[in-house]
Amino acid sequence: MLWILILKKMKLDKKAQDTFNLTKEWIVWIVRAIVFFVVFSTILMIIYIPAFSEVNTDGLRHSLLRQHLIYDKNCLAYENDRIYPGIIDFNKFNQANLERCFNTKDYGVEVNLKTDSIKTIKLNEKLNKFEFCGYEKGFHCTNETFYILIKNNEIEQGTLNIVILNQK
Amino acid sequence: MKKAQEELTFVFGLILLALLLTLFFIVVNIASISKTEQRIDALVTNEVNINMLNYLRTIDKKTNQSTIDLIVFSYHNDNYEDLKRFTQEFFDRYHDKQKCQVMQVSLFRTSDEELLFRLFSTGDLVTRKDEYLQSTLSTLIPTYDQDLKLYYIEGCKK
Repeated sequence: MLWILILKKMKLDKKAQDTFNLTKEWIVWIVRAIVFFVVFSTILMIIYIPAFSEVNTDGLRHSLLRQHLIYDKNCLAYENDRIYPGIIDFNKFNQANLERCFNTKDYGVEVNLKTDSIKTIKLNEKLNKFEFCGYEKGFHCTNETFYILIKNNEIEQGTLNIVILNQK
Repeated sequence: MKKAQEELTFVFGLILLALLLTLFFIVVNIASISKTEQRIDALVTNEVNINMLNYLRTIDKKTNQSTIDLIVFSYHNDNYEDLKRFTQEFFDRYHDKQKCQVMQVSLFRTSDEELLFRLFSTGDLVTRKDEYLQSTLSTLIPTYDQDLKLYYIEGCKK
Protein backbone atom coordinates (compact mmCIF):
# COMPACT_ATOMS: atom_id res chain seq x y z
CA MET A 1 0.00 0.00 0.00
CA LEU A 2 2.78 2.35 0.96
CA TRP A 3 4.58 1.56 -2.26
CA ILE A 4 1.53 2.46 -4.27
CA LEU A 5 1.26 5.80 -2.48
CA ILE A 6 5.00 6.54 -3.04
CA LEU A 7 4.70 5.68 -6.73
CA LYS A 8 1.61 7.89 -7.12
CA LYS A 9 3.42 10.76 -5.38
CA MET A 10 6.44 10.33 -7.66
CA LYS A 11 4.16 10.33 -10.71
CA LEU A 12 2.52 13.52 -9.50
CA ASP A 13 5.95 15.12 -8.79
CA LYS A 14 7.09 14.29 -12.32
CA LYS A 15 4.04 16.02 -13.82
CA ALA A 16 4.57 19.03 -11.56
CA GLN A 17 8.21 19.09 -12.63
CA ASP A 18 7.15 19.05 -16.31
CA THR A 19 4.79 21.98 -15.72
CA PHE A 20 7.52 23.84 -13.87
CA ASN A 21 9.98 23.24 -16.73
CA LEU A 22 7.43 24.45 -19.25
CA THR A 23 6.80 27.62 -17.24
CA LYS A 24 10.53 28.23 -16.87
CA GLU A 25 11.03 27.76 -20.59
CA TRP A 26 8.32 30.28 -21.38
CA ILE A 27 9.71 32.85 -18.99
CA VAL A 28 13.15 32.46 -20.58
CA TRP A 29 11.57 32.98 -23.99
CA ILE A 30 9.73 36.11 -22.83
CA VAL A 31 12.98 37.56 -21.50
CA ARG A 32 14.75 36.68 -24.76
CA ALA A 33 11.96 38.29 -26.79
CA ILE A 34 12.12 41.50 -24.74
CA VAL A 35 15.92 41.71 -25.04
CA PHE A 36 15.71 41.10 -28.79
CA PHE A 37 13.00 43.69 -29.23
CA VAL A 38 14.82 46.34 -27.17
CA VAL A 39 18.05 45.82 -29.15
CA PHE A 40 16.21 45.76 -32.48
CA SER A 41 14.16 48.88 -31.70
CA THR A 42 17.24 50.78 -30.45
CA ILE A 43 19.02 50.08 -33.73
CA LEU A 44 15.89 51.04 -35.65
CA MET A 45 15.53 54.33 -33.76
CA ILE A 46 19.20 55.22 -34.20
CA ILE A 47 18.68 54.93 -37.94
CA TYR A 48 15.15 56.33 -38.03
CA ILE A 49 15.41 59.49 -35.89
CA PRO A 50 18.17 61.35 -37.81
CA ALA A 51 16.80 60.18 -41.14
CA PHE A 52 13.32 61.59 -40.53
CA SER A 53 13.95 64.67 -38.40
CA GLU A 54 13.01 67.85 -40.21
CA VAL A 55 15.00 71.05 -40.28
CA ASN A 56 12.71 73.98 -40.91
CA THR A 57 14.66 76.54 -42.89
CA ASP A 58 11.74 78.89 -43.65
CA GLY A 59 12.69 81.23 -40.79
CA LEU A 60 16.31 81.22 -41.91
CA ARG A 61 15.36 82.09 -45.49
CA HIS A 62 13.10 84.90 -44.35
CA SER A 63 15.93 86.25 -42.20
CA LEU A 64 18.32 86.18 -45.16
CA LEU A 65 15.76 87.92 -47.38
CA ARG A 66 15.23 90.67 -44.80
CA GLN A 67 18.95 91.21 -44.49
CA HIS A 68 19.24 91.27 -48.27
CA LEU A 69 16.64 94.05 -48.36
CA ILE A 70 18.38 96.11 -45.69
CA TYR A 71 22.09 95.54 -46.39
CA ASP A 72 22.23 95.34 -50.17
CA LYS A 73 23.06 98.58 -51.99
CA ASN A 74 20.81 97.47 -54.85
CA CYS A 75 17.89 97.27 -52.42
CA LEU A 76 17.56 99.82 -49.61
CA ALA A 77 21.02 100.39 -48.14
CA TYR A 78 22.30 103.94 -48.30
CA GLU A 79 25.54 104.32 -50.24
CA ASN A 80 27.88 107.26 -50.29
CA ASP A 81 31.42 106.10 -51.13
CA ARG A 82 30.67 103.17 -48.88
CA ILE A 83 27.54 101.31 -47.79
CA TYR A 84 26.02 102.30 -44.45
CA PRO A 85 24.37 99.16 -43.03
CA GLY A 86 21.13 99.95 -41.24
CA ILE A 87 20.64 103.30 -42.96
CA ILE A 88 17.93 103.26 -45.63
CA ASP A 89 18.08 105.45 -48.69
CA PHE A 90 14.62 106.98 -48.97
CA ASN A 91 15.01 107.39 -52.76
CA LYS A 92 15.46 103.63 -53.10
CA PHE A 93 12.20 102.91 -51.32
CA ASN A 94 9.98 102.55 -54.37
CA GLN A 95 8.09 99.73 -56.08
CA ALA A 96 10.33 99.48 -59.15
CA ASN A 97 13.58 99.28 -57.18
CA LEU A 98 12.29 96.72 -54.68
CA GLU A 99 10.84 94.51 -57.41
CA ARG A 100 14.20 94.60 -59.16
CA CYS A 101 16.16 93.64 -56.03
CA PHE A 102 13.65 91.13 -54.73
CA ASN A 103 13.02 88.92 -57.73
CA THR A 104 11.75 85.74 -56.13
CA LYS A 105 8.33 84.35 -57.00
CA ASP A 106 8.04 82.12 -53.94
CA TYR A 107 7.56 84.84 -51.35
CA GLY A 108 4.94 87.48 -50.74
CA VAL A 109 6.38 90.58 -49.10
CA GLU A 110 4.95 93.71 -47.54
CA VAL A 111 7.35 96.46 -46.50
CA ASN A 112 6.15 99.32 -44.31
CA LEU A 113 8.36 102.33 -43.75
CA LYS A 114 7.16 104.41 -40.85
CA THR A 115 8.47 107.87 -40.14
CA ASP A 116 6.01 110.69 -39.58
CA SER A 117 3.93 108.95 -42.23
CA ILE A 118 3.63 105.32 -43.34
CA LYS A 119 4.67 104.19 -46.81
CA THR A 120 3.78 100.64 -47.86
CA ILE A 121 5.09 98.56 -50.75
CA LYS A 122 3.79 95.10 -51.62
CA LEU A 123 5.86 92.69 -53.68
CA ASN A 124 4.64 89.61 -55.50
CA GLU A 125 0.92 90.41 -55.19
CA LYS A 126 -0.10 86.80 -55.91
CA LEU A 127 1.28 85.67 -52.56
CA ASN A 128 0.20 88.71 -50.55
CA LYS A 129 -2.32 86.80 -48.48
CA PHE A 130 -1.24 87.94 -45.05
CA GLU A 131 -4.71 87.31 -43.63
CA PHE A 132 -3.70 83.62 -43.69
CA CYS A 133 -0.83 84.20 -41.26
CA GLY A 134 -1.50 82.46 -37.98
CA TYR A 135 -4.57 80.62 -39.26
CA GLU A 136 -3.56 78.56 -42.29
CA LYS A 137 -1.05 75.81 -41.58
CA GLY A 138 0.27 75.70 -45.14
CA PHE A 139 1.88 79.13 -44.88
CA HIS A 140 4.95 80.34 -43.04
CA CYS A 141 4.86 84.00 -42.04
CA THR A 142 7.30 86.26 -40.30
CA ASN A 143 6.76 89.83 -39.19
CA GLU A 144 9.82 91.78 -38.07
CA THR A 145 10.28 95.45 -37.31
CA PHE A 146 13.63 97.22 -37.31
CA TYR A 147 14.67 100.51 -35.88
CA ILE A 148 16.36 102.24 -38.79
CA LEU A 149 17.76 105.56 -39.87
CA ILE A 150 16.51 107.01 -43.14
CA LYS A 151 18.63 109.17 -45.38
CA ASN A 152 16.40 111.68 -47.10
CA ASN A 153 17.58 115.26 -47.10
CA GLU A 154 18.79 114.65 -43.59
CA ILE A 155 18.97 111.57 -41.38
CA GLU A 156 15.57 110.71 -39.87
CA GLN A 157 14.54 108.03 -37.40
CA GLY A 158 11.95 105.45 -38.34
CA THR A 159 10.91 101.84 -38.30
CA LEU A 160 10.94 99.37 -41.14
CA ASN A 161 8.41 96.56 -40.87
CA ILE A 162 8.92 93.57 -43.17
CA VAL A 163 6.25 90.86 -43.45
CA ILE A 164 7.21 87.80 -45.48
CA LEU A 165 4.98 84.88 -46.39
CA ASN A 166 5.62 81.69 -48.29
CA GLN A 167 3.80 78.44 -48.91
CA LYS A 168 5.31 75.47 -47.05
CA MET B 1 -2.53 17.61 -16.41
CA LYS B 2 -1.86 17.78 -20.15
CA LYS B 3 -4.80 20.17 -20.55
CA ALA B 4 -3.38 22.36 -17.79
CA GLN B 5 -0.03 22.48 -19.63
CA GLU B 6 -1.79 23.50 -22.87
CA GLU B 7 -3.64 26.25 -21.07
CA LEU B 8 -0.41 27.41 -19.50
CA THR B 9 1.21 27.55 -22.94
CA PHE B 10 -1.77 29.55 -24.25
CA VAL B 11 -1.62 32.03 -21.35
CA PHE B 12 2.13 32.57 -21.72
CA GLY B 13 1.67 32.95 -25.48
CA LEU B 14 -0.85 35.72 -24.86
CA ILE B 15 1.47 37.43 -22.37
CA LEU B 16 4.35 37.31 -24.89
CA LEU B 17 2.13 38.69 -27.64
CA ALA B 18 0.86 41.51 -25.39
CA LEU B 19 4.44 42.41 -24.39
CA LEU B 20 5.63 42.52 -27.98
CA LEU B 21 2.66 44.66 -29.07
CA THR B 22 3.22 47.07 -26.15
CA LEU B 23 6.91 47.44 -27.00
CA PHE B 24 6.05 47.93 -30.67
CA PHE B 25 3.64 50.78 -29.90
CA ILE B 26 6.13 52.41 -27.52
CA VAL B 27 8.78 52.40 -30.26
CA VAL B 28 6.34 53.75 -32.86
CA ASN B 29 5.28 56.56 -30.50
CA ILE B 30 8.85 57.55 -29.64
CA ALA B 31 9.77 57.54 -33.31
CA SER B 32 6.83 59.79 -34.25
CA ILE B 33 7.61 62.24 -31.41
CA SER B 34 11.14 62.51 -32.74
CA LYS B 35 9.84 64.09 -35.94
CA THR B 36 10.56 67.51 -34.50
CA GLU B 37 11.19 70.62 -36.49
CA GLN B 38 14.48 72.31 -35.80
CA ARG B 39 14.48 76.07 -36.16
CA ILE B 40 17.52 78.18 -36.74
CA ASP B 41 17.46 81.37 -34.71
CA ALA B 42 21.08 82.45 -34.93
CA LEU B 43 20.51 84.98 -37.69
CA VAL B 44 17.75 86.72 -35.74
CA THR B 45 20.37 87.94 -33.26
CA ASN B 46 22.31 89.26 -36.21
CA GLU B 47 19.25 91.26 -37.24
CA VAL B 48 18.93 92.79 -33.76
CA ASN B 49 22.42 94.21 -34.39
CA ILE B 50 20.84 96.71 -36.77
CA ASN B 51 18.64 98.04 -33.99
CA MET B 52 21.51 98.44 -31.54
CA LEU B 53 23.75 99.98 -34.17
CA ASN B 54 21.08 102.51 -35.12
CA TYR B 55 20.29 103.24 -31.47
CA LEU B 56 23.94 104.07 -30.87
CA ARG B 57 24.30 106.38 -33.85
CA THR B 58 20.99 108.21 -33.63
CA ILE B 59 21.46 111.91 -33.05
CA ASP B 60 19.56 113.36 -30.13
CA LYS B 61 17.95 116.55 -31.38
CA LYS B 62 17.98 118.24 -27.98
CA THR B 63 21.68 117.84 -27.24
CA ASN B 64 22.71 117.41 -30.90
CA GLN B 65 24.86 114.44 -29.94
CA SER B 66 24.86 110.85 -31.10
CA THR B 67 23.94 108.26 -28.47
CA ILE B 68 27.56 107.14 -28.11
CA ASP B 69 28.67 110.73 -27.46
CA LEU B 70 25.79 111.13 -25.05
CA ILE B 71 26.90 108.01 -23.15
CA VAL B 72 30.50 109.26 -22.86
CA PHE B 73 29.29 112.74 -21.88
CA SER B 74 26.91 111.29 -19.27
CA TYR B 75 29.67 109.11 -17.83
CA HIS B 76 32.08 111.97 -17.40
CA ASN B 77 29.47 114.22 -15.83
CA ASP B 78 27.94 111.38 -13.84
CA ASN B 79 24.53 112.56 -15.00
CA TYR B 80 22.42 110.16 -17.03
CA GLU B 81 19.23 112.22 -17.30
CA ASP B 82 19.63 113.06 -20.99
CA LEU B 83 20.54 109.46 -21.79
CA LYS B 84 17.49 108.28 -19.87
CA ARG B 85 15.18 110.71 -21.67
CA PHE B 86 16.61 109.84 -25.07
CA THR B 87 16.47 106.05 -24.45
CA GLN B 88 12.88 106.37 -23.25
CA GLU B 89 12.03 108.20 -26.51
CA PHE B 90 13.69 105.36 -28.40
CA PHE B 91 11.59 102.76 -26.54
CA ASP B 92 8.42 104.79 -27.11
CA ARG B 93 9.13 105.00 -30.81
CA TYR B 94 10.34 101.49 -31.44
CA HIS B 95 9.12 99.04 -28.76
CA ASP B 96 6.24 96.92 -30.09
CA LYS B 97 4.68 95.93 -26.76
CA GLN B 98 2.48 93.23 -28.27
CA LYS B 99 5.47 91.42 -29.69
CA CYS B 100 8.35 92.15 -27.34
CA GLN B 101 8.10 91.26 -23.68
CA VAL B 102 11.17 93.25 -22.73
CA MET B 103 13.64 95.75 -24.12
CA GLN B 104 16.55 96.86 -22.03
CA VAL B 105 19.62 99.05 -22.28
CA SER B 106 22.20 98.88 -19.51
CA LEU B 107 25.64 100.35 -19.08
CA PHE B 108 28.47 99.00 -16.93
CA ARG B 109 31.90 100.24 -16.00
CA THR B 110 34.44 97.57 -17.08
CA SER B 111 36.95 98.15 -14.26
CA ASP B 112 34.63 97.07 -11.44
CA GLU B 113 31.53 96.05 -13.40
CA GLU B 114 29.42 98.61 -11.58
CA LEU B 115 26.05 99.35 -13.08
CA LEU B 116 25.93 102.96 -14.24
CA PHE B 117 22.66 103.13 -16.09
CA ARG B 118 19.72 100.84 -16.80
CA LEU B 119 16.41 101.44 -18.46
CA PHE B 120 13.89 98.90 -19.63
CA SER B 121 10.50 98.79 -21.19
CA THR B 122 8.07 95.93 -20.65
CA GLY B 123 5.39 94.63 -22.95
CA ASP B 124 2.96 91.72 -23.04
CA LEU B 125 3.98 88.52 -21.30
CA VAL B 126 5.02 85.70 -23.60
CA THR B 127 3.74 82.59 -21.87
CA ARG B 128 5.15 79.86 -24.08
CA LYS B 129 8.89 79.36 -23.75
CA ASP B 130 9.29 78.07 -27.30
CA GLU B 131 7.75 81.30 -28.63
CA TYR B 132 10.25 83.52 -26.85
CA LEU B 133 13.68 84.50 -28.11
CA GLN B 134 15.95 86.78 -26.14
CA SER B 135 18.76 88.48 -28.00
CA THR B 136 21.47 90.00 -25.83
CA LEU B 137 24.07 92.11 -27.55
CA SER B 138 26.94 93.99 -26.03
CA THR B 139 29.49 96.49 -27.18
CA LEU B 140 32.40 98.37 -25.66
CA ILE B 141 32.33 102.14 -25.64
CA PRO B 142 35.72 103.78 -25.10
CA THR B 143 35.98 106.82 -22.84
CA TYR B 144 38.97 108.86 -21.68
CA ASP B 145 39.78 106.66 -18.70
CA GLN B 146 38.24 103.26 -19.40
CA ASP B 147 35.83 101.27 -21.57
CA LEU B 148 32.16 101.07 -20.76
CA LYS B 149 30.14 98.01 -21.63
CA LEU B 150 26.69 98.52 -23.06
CA TYR B 151 24.16 95.66 -23.10
CA TYR B 152 21.22 95.82 -25.45
CA ILE B 153 18.48 93.21 -24.85
CA GLU B 154 15.38 92.42 -26.86
CA GLY B 155 13.13 89.58 -25.67
CA CYS B 156 10.42 89.06 -28.24
CA LYS B 157 8.05 86.50 -29.70
CA LYS B 158 9.69 84.58 -32.51
